[in-house]
Amino acid sequence: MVTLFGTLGFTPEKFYPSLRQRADVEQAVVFHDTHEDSKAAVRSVAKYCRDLGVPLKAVRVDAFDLVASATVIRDTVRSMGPGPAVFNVTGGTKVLAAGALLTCILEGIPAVYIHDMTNEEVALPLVRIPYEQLLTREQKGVLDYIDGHEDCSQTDIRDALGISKPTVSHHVQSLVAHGLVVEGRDPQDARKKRLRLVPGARLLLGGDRT
Amino acid sequence: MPLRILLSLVPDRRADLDHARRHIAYDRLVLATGPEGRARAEAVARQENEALGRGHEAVASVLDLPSLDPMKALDVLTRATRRFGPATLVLNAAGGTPAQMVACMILAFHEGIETVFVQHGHVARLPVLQRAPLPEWFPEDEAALVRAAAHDAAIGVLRERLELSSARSDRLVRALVRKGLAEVEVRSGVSRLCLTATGLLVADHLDAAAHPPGADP
Repeated sequence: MVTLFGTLGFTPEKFYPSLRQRADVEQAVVFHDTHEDSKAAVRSVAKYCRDLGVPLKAVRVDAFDLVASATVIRDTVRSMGPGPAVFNVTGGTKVLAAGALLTCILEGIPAVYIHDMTNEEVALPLVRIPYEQLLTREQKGVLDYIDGHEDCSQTDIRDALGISKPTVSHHVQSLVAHGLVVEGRDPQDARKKRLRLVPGARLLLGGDRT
Repeated sequence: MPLRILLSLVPDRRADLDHARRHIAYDRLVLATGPEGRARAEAVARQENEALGRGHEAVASVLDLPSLDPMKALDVLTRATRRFGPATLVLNAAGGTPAQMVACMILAFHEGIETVFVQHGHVARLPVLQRAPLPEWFPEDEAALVRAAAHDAAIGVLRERLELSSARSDRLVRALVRKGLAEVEVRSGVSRLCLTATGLLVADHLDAAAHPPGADP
């Protein structure tokens, strides 16, 4: 039995094919925003599911905030347990679909898209990416420090972690190159650079903070 | 220094595209669109190129992108990004059809490409671990097996070709099956390693990494 997840916009029709084409859906979960048309779409899906005897859970998200929506989707997916699942990412805003795709990659959930002309499911070739394994232990240490000390400097990291200046510089540059950390000017001293995590870096690496 | 290419889907609102052009630094602009956005894209490309004056190399171009099928769109985008060679690529995934956006997202995550959404005057960055394409986190021996399998092949043949022990090839096959990249089928009494749709995509990525544009085949 499968848990069917889906992003929902104004057109519930984009969700129905996944329900129709699967005989093994145990429960359905849709992510939607607060727009009246989106709420109406949820009601339509709820009625459809009721007729099929499939329990439906509707989860509200901010469909225009990528990191916030991806965090809610990921937390919901995790709360449903490790059973088989599939995610229909066709409906909703593009930001919401992007958040769903990101969750599928992070959590290893198969994703499907409903073809606009045929209304058939198209399986998307997503591969689970263990982002957290792509960083070294030392890089993670530096990342954790920056996460807990927003606007810190390389000197702060060196003093706190007891590693040399060139090593700190090397790790910070690699984190910047990976797009996880940004450097900004210190308003008090133009020679200094302040470090902070980009929004979503924690989400990407499996943590809870954003 | 490598060229910086902005590959953008074409938003419905011209203002969103202009905002992306103002706020994302680039040397070349590629507008990817189907018939629905072609006129808008061509107008922007013409404007960019005419602004340079005669005798200059064009900086803007239009890429034909399937509008309805995300897999076909992904195929076109993947081939296009390979043609760019060592250039630094930035994707703008705002705009286009949902199928084009989905293709753009998959490309971004799989290839580790910096990706932005420029909408309503706001630039949002997709959380992507940049410079970490698939081949980076694939163990070399698993990658070799995926490449050697091509589509599907007898496991015994693969073992001999790659000079693997039985235990080692079993371990690698199990790892690929766990990742959803391959399945084992027994046909006429022979165990064969068959790549899944995802596995074929990954094999494609690995081939591209092994033979970058401009390299000898």
